[in-house]
Amino acid sequence: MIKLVFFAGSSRSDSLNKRLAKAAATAAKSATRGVPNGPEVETTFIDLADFDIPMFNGDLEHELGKPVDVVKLKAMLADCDGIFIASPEYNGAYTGLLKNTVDWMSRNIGGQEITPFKDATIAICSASPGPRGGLASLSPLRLLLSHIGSMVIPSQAAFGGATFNDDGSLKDEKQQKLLDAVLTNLIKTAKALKS
Amino acid sequence: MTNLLFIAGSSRKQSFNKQLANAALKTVQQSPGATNITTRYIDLAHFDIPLYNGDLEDEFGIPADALRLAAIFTMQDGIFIASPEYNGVYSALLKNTIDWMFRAIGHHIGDDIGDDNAYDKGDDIEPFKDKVICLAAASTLDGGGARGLIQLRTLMGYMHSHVIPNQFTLGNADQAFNANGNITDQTKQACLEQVLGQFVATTTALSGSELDQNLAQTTLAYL
Repeated sequence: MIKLVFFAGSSRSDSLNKRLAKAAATAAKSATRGVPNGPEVETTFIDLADFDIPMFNGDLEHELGKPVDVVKLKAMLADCDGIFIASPEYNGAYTGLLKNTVDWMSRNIGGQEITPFKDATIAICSASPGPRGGLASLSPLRLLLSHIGSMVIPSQAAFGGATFNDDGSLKDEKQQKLLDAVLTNLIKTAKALKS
Repeated sequence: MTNLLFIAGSSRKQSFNKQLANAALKTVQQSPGATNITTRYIDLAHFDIPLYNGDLEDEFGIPADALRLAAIFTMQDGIFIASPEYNGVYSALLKNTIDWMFRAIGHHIGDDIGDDNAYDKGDDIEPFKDKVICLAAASTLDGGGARGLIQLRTLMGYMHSHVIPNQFTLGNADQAFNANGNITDQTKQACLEQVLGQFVATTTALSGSELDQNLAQTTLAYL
């Protein structure tokens, strides 16, 4: 059994990247169907809008400790074998929401060291209405996650002009195939590195 | 059997990055846990590879040494790259070597690469896809060449290699090695061992898994 968590670096209710993360979660469940020795896959979609996480401030952390939702999210991310991040591009880089979330996740909780991104196997993708699909956010995100010890798989994809079917899948078959390929590699890598 | 290659992005005889690649190789060889691992060091100075030029490729094809090196890369499961920092970035030697090897994809392994490998003559050349890469740098400066690795990580990700998150940098490299080529600072050596531990563990885990064979082409074609 491979447990995967999916989330997007955006909180907007109709976010394109949330849709991408959801499409990925759906596709991942069937990604290993028919694959010899393909593991069963359990998927969880996380909406960062459901987590009340303030902008990081060292004073805040010192005075009040960790926000409850930071502890909650850490536990959810620590309890999986692989993570899929759909990262919107804001001005050529990832969003403040995503960076702030990663920053909080990297902080220890009262001596208890849970660092969910360390040694995590991660796939990164992006979607945007424009032709380049938010590609520019992925290189800085790869470096950020590598810096905190994540194994970011080489397969990545940027979905330009992404639109979705009613069932949540990508309308463009070529795009959906690309997403499936990234997910297959995420699952295989997570399985190989699961210790 | 896991095959590991150690190279440096410099051709200078006394290159600190060559010394680092050799120190890393020796560390892996001497590690008690390193069973079923073959190690190989390659000096890029022994490969006669010109600066890339599309006209040259059209006229003469891929240089024999670029094909030979790409075949050697293909035979590896993991590659340790000690990359010098020139003006904040990797060296032109390293970039040019990678660029030519990338052009060799689609060619086949020739008969001039020896028989010490799992690949047969005629197999496809795939120098980078799904290889595990360990990044390192040595520099006489305090920073140890860390800035150059930022762009090398991005480049190798584009080549569809698995770059492990840990990396090793060695500052003040002109004073770092003893006459035997070992790193004298025990803390630094321990740090190198930790990075190499992740390198070996990741390579061993991933070399046994069959990753999606068609993916690299798909991704590159699409982007």
